Amino acid sequence: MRQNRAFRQGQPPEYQHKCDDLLQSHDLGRFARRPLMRAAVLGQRGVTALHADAYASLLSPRPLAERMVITGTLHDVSPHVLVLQTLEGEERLAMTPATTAWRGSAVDPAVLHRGDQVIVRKSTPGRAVAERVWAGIGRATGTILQARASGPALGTGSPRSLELLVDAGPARARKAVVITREAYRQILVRFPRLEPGYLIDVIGLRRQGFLQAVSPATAQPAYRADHPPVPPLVSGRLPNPVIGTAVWHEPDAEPAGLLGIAYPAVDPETGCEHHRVSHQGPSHQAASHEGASDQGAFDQGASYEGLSPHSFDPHDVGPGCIRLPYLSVGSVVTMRNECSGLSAPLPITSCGAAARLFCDRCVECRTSPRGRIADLTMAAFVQLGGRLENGCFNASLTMAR
Amino acid sequence: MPFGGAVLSAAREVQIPIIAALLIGACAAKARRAVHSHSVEAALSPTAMFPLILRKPMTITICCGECVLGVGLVLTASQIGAGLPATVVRGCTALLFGTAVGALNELRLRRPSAGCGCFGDLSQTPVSTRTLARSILLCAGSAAAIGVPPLRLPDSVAQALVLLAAGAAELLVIAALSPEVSQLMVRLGHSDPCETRRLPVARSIASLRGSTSWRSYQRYLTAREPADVWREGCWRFLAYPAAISGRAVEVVFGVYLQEHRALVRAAIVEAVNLIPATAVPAPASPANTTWRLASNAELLADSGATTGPMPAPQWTRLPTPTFTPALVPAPRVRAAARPARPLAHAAPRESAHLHNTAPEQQVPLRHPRFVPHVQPPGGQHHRPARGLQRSSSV
Repeated sequence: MRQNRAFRQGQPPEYQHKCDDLLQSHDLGRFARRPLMRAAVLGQRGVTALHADAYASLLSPRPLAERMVITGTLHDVSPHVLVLQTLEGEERLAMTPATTAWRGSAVDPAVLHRGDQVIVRKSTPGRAVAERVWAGIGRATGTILQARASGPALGTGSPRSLELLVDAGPARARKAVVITREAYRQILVRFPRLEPGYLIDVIGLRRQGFLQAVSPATAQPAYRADHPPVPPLVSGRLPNPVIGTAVWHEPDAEPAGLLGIAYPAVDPETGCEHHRVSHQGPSHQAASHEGASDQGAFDQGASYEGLSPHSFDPHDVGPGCIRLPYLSVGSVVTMRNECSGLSAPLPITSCGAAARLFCDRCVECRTSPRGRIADLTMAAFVQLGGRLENGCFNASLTMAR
Repeated sequence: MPFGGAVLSAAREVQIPIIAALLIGACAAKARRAVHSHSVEAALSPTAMFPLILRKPMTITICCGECVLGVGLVLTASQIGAGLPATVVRGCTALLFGTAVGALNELRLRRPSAGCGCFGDLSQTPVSTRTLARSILLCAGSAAAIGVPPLRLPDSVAQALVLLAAGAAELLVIAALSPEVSQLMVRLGHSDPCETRRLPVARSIASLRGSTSWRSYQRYLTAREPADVWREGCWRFLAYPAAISGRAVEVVFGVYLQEHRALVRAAIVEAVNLIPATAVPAPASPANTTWRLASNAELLADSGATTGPMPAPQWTRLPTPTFTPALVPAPRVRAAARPARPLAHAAPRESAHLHNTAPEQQVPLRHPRFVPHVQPPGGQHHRPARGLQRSSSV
């Protein structure tokens, strides 16, 4: 009773000082043990294989030859061979006439640049044959904090280029986005309000310190970012699996090959609520060498300092567009790509609260229900058969009973 | 006046207050939604059919039009606005609902998933035949109200009853055609599913400390606070470091998230560190992260019996002696509550039945494996429950 009284009086217990951040934590095993301890309490057997599969990219990375998705720096490219420099070493992948590549748009694989950060999906895990290659692809999702047009207007109503500062959520670094004149009209069709306070989600090329937007990833919601609609009420138990949209995010501080989920509904009691990273500037850990010579980049200086009036915590605006069960970092869920039919158990590795602000649908194969149910890492998105340039796939999320 | 004519007249008269109330209510709901979302466009879905530049003016026009017509219907219902003003207002109302019928039909064809935007998008149910039928009914009601003489109080009880019956019947029909009613009923009697319910950790800990599982395992815990707390759906889990027979273990409690009488389950697991301390990557240098970690994730789950849920330790409750020791007076009231001489049953004793016999051989003292009465230094001891204390001291 004495201890209960202490809790009621607001004395913070010890674990509250530890934020549930898998990457910042010095005790990674604390999160990896959670699914096993849950199974022990609930008397579930046979979870070992599922757990091993889910945590394979964290605890026991497979050899390069057995992986389906490989991430690295492009070391050399020829019409038939792709040489990647990965953390585990050099990997050579053969290219066939069916191999496709993306670098701002669909390009011939032979024109990729040395030094590009690429992510490759192989045709089969055992064969070193590249099926799809994405070079320098990046994404900015979140709330527009600042918008600044640069260059003279050309008389057509569009500025020369537009520079945006995007807040991607409480646990992510802010990103600088540059919309060039060539992409401006295409993006304006789907995002008519490129103003502070509104949402943006664009796909583009990662440059030195900013993202060059190429295409819109979805359509802009009509509401302001801090006032999303209230989801329909649910009585009884939540459906399992939950069906919706799965998107991907850039690996800011995560390992490039991490297979995991940034979950939009991490338990606010022990999760990442109000846990902000220091915003010292845009973070693009991997940038192409040619980006250094780009002119007109967003000024990295005083623009990033201080708090913006449009900055807010997505946890403060309600449950978002879809009601999801509260889970924690370390929980294992099964993700299924409803379009490709591929599924995999994946651990929740971070908080993706910004995804709850979007009420969009994915039309990758059919029209999905509204709402984003998972923000996958790039490797996990590709592993499940998603196309990064499309931005989403129809997905179902199954929570362990 | 024949009865049929009286009913028809009453049905025409009740259109004015009902439609006025609906228009004013719809306008208020739209305004509330716009104020809440800080966006005028969010208040009306059908404006999505218009070009972006026209959405905001259209939304404001529709909202203001509903308000003006609703107030106008009320003002022109009496003698003050009788005649041409009343006819104009009721004609405009019929025109508004007629336009709504066309707009909803167009919306259903072009954007099948969009709601009608009625009452500030109270219900996001896609436009259906029911919604269209409601608009047609209101359009017909507005047209029928044209030419109705100024409203007055009923002359007799029978006329009042006819008016009430006509109004109630129309309200029932409108409610049957409105998807918002079911949504409203759901909101009134709604309770969040346990998966989405927010419950503070302190509440879960309070539920845990009142449970039988906590009383069974409390004595083995070596820390006051849990080493880890997390949640999965309807369950919140709390892991406490513990020591049993010198082995470092963890006691994991699972608390079902409900307000009262929460279900609590527990398990003892080995304190296995899945990740060697040397293999933890440096968080500040992601570029140098190797993530080559040991593959010993199976250790915990494959550790057999210690992983599965375990019952409370049985050795805390020893069987009752089969006969009363001679040196100990027979207990009369609650013998096992607090014995006068602990461990007296292990002392030398002699038989109570045979005289002149040799005393039994002295047996070594039996030390209990767990001594709950030992006070830890610093006065931080938590007093166990009375029942357990009693049983373990036997």
